Amino acid sequence: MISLLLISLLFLVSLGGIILSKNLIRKVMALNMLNSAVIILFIFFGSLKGTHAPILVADETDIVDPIPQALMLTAIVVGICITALALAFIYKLHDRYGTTELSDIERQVHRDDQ
Amino acid sequence: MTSDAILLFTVIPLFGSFIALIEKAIPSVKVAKPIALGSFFLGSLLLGLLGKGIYEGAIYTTVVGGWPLGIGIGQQLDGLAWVALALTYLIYLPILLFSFSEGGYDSRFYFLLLLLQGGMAGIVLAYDVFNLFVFLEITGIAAYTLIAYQQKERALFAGFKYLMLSSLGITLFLLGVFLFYRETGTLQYNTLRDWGQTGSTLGGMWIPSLPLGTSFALATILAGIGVRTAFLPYTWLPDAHGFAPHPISASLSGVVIKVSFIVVWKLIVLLQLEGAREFLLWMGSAIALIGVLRALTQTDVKVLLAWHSVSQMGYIFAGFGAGNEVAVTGSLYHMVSHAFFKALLFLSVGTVILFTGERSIKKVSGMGRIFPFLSVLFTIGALSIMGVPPFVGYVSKSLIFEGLQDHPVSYWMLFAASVGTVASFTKLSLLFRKSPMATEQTNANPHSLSLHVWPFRNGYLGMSLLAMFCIAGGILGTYGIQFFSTILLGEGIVGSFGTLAKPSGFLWMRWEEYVKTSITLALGYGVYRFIVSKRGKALQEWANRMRISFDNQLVLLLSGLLILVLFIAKH
Repeated sequence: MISLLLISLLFLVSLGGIILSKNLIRKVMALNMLNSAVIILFIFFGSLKGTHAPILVADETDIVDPIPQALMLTAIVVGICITALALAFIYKLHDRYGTTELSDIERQVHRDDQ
Repeated sequence: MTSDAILLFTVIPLFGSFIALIEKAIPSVKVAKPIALGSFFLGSLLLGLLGKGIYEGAIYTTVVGGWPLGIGIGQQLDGLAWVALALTYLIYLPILLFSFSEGGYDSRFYFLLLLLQGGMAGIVLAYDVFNLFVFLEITGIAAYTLIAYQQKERALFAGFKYLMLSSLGITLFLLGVFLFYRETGTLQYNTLRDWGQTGSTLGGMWIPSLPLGTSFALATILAGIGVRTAFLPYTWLPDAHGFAPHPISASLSGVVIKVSFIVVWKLIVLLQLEGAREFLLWMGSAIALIGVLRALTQTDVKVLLAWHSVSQMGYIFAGFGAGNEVAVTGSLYHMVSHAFFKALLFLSVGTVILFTGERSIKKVSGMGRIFPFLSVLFTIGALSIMGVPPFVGYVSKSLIFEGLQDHPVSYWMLFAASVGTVASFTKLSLLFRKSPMATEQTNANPHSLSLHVWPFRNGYLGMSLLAMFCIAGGILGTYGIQFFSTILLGEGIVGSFGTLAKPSGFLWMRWEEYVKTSITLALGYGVYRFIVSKRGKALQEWANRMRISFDNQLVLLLSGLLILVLFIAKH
C-alpha cells in the first residue's frame, strides 16, 4: 500500500510541477518525472506475479510477466528522446527569446502579434 | 501471403527515411527526393492492389515473424484503415511536389517527412495498444521537429507547446494502458472489445476498486490520443499548423490530426462507448463554433486557416458522435474532403506568403491580378470549405447535416459555424481581390512576382491535383457516398435516403438544398460586412485580448479528461 501511495504522490507532484512551474526546463523535468511515475507503477504491478526472470528455459515456470517490462523499456527510451528533444527546443527558444521563463516568452509572442 | 504485405506500409517509408539520410552523410549522393517519391509510388501501388479486397469486406491481419497473435507485433488493415492510408498518400504527393518547388529543404526534411508517413501508417494499422503507443510517438517526434524545421521563433514555440501537451497526453494514455493491462493481461484490440462489452470492474489485485475506475481507464486512453486530435479548443493546434512550413501545415491539418482520430474512432466502436460518442457530439458542435469565431478575428492568414481546422474537425466529431449511418458516413467523407480542401488552402495561401513575404491579411491584397491561376485554385478550396455545390465540402457537410436531424441543438450550432465559415473565407479572399480593409498596399512589383510562376510549376501541379480531388469528390459524390458507406457499414446507403442523392450517376440536389446554401451564403456575407465595419473591428480587438495561456491549456486537458470520465461513466 505504501508503494502505491508513494507512486501516487510522485504522479501528483509532477502533474503539479508541469502546470504550476514558470520555467520551461522545470516543466520538462516534471514531465519526465510524471513519465517515471507511470513507468514505476507499471513495473511494480508487473513484478507482483511470478518470481523468476522471464528467460525461457525448459523447466522454468514461475516467470514474471515480460510484457510490462518490454512496454516500459520502450516507454523509458521514448521518454528520454522526448526529454532530449524538449530540451533542444528550449535551447533554441532561449537563443531567440533570451529567456526560459514561460511568461516572458508569451509576452514577447503577444507583442509580436500586435 | 497477401496479409503480410500490409507490413510494407510502415516498412517502406521507415526504410526509405534512413536511405534519405545517406544524403546527409554523403551530400553528392542525391537520394532524398527520389526515395521520397519512390515511397509514394510503391505505397500507393500496394494500396491499389489491396483496394478491391477491402471493398469486398476483407480484413487483413498479420503478425511480424510468425508469432501467435498476442505475442508478436500485430497489424491489421480494415476498411477504415485503408481509407486513412489512402488519404495520407493522396495528400503526400501534392505536399512533396510543393516542397520540391519551394526549395530550401534538405535531406533531413525528407527523412522526417517519410518518418511521419511511416508513423501514421503504423498508427492506423496497429492491432495492439503497445504498437499504437510506439507509432504515436514516432509520428509525434517527426511532427514536432517538422513544425520547427525552419527554426523561426513562433514555430519553435508552437512546436514546443505541441510537444509538451501531447507528451502529457501520451503519459495519461500510458496510465490508461496500465489500468487496462492490469484488468485483462493483454493489450490487443479484440480483448479491449471483450473488456468493454462485459464491463468488468477493476479489482482482482489488491488495489481496492475505484468507483469510476473503468471509466477512468477508458477516458485516459481516449483523452491521451484526443490531445493529438484536438477534442478541445486547444491553442496548440492553430499555432503549430499556422507557423509550420507550408507543406507541413497542409499535412498536419490534412492528415495527421485525422489519423489519430481514426484510432479514437476504432476504439469507441470496439468498446461501444456511447458516452464518448455523446461527448464528441457536444464537443464537436462546440468547437465547430468556437473555432470559427476565433478564425473570424485573426489577421494572420495561416492561423486563420488553422482555426478553421479546429472548426471543421468539430463537424467530423459531431457527425461521428451522432452515430447514425448517414452521419457516420458523412463524418468519414468529411475527413477526406477536409483533407483535400484544407491542404489546397494551406498550399495556395502559402504560395502567396512565399511570393510576398507577408502573412497578414492587412498587408496583402489584390493578388488575383498577378496570380490568376492561383486565385482559381484558392477559390475552389474556399468554395469547398463553404459547402457550395458542386465541390466536395458540399457533399460531406450535407451528409452530416442530414444525419443530425435528430439533434437540433448540434444542427443549428453547426449551421451557425457554416455561416461563420462563409464570412471568414469572404474575408480571406481579400488576398486575391481588391481590399477595403488593407491599410497599406503591397509594394511588390507585379511583374517580378509573376516571373516566379514557372519555376514554381511543381507546386502548381500539386495544388491542381488537390483541386481536381475537390471537384471530383463533389461531382462524383454519389459514388463517394456509396464507397464510404460500403466500407464502413458493409452496404451502400445511397438508396436508403434517396432524398439527397440518386443511387446512380451524378449528385442531384433537392431545391431545399439550393435554398439552404443560398441562405448560408447570404447570412455569411452579412456577417462579413459586420466584421469589416467599425463596430465589428472593435469587437475583434476585444476578442483578441482573450488568450488561453499555455498553463491554462494543460488545465484544459485535465478538465476535458474529467468531463470525458463523467460522460463515459454515465452510460
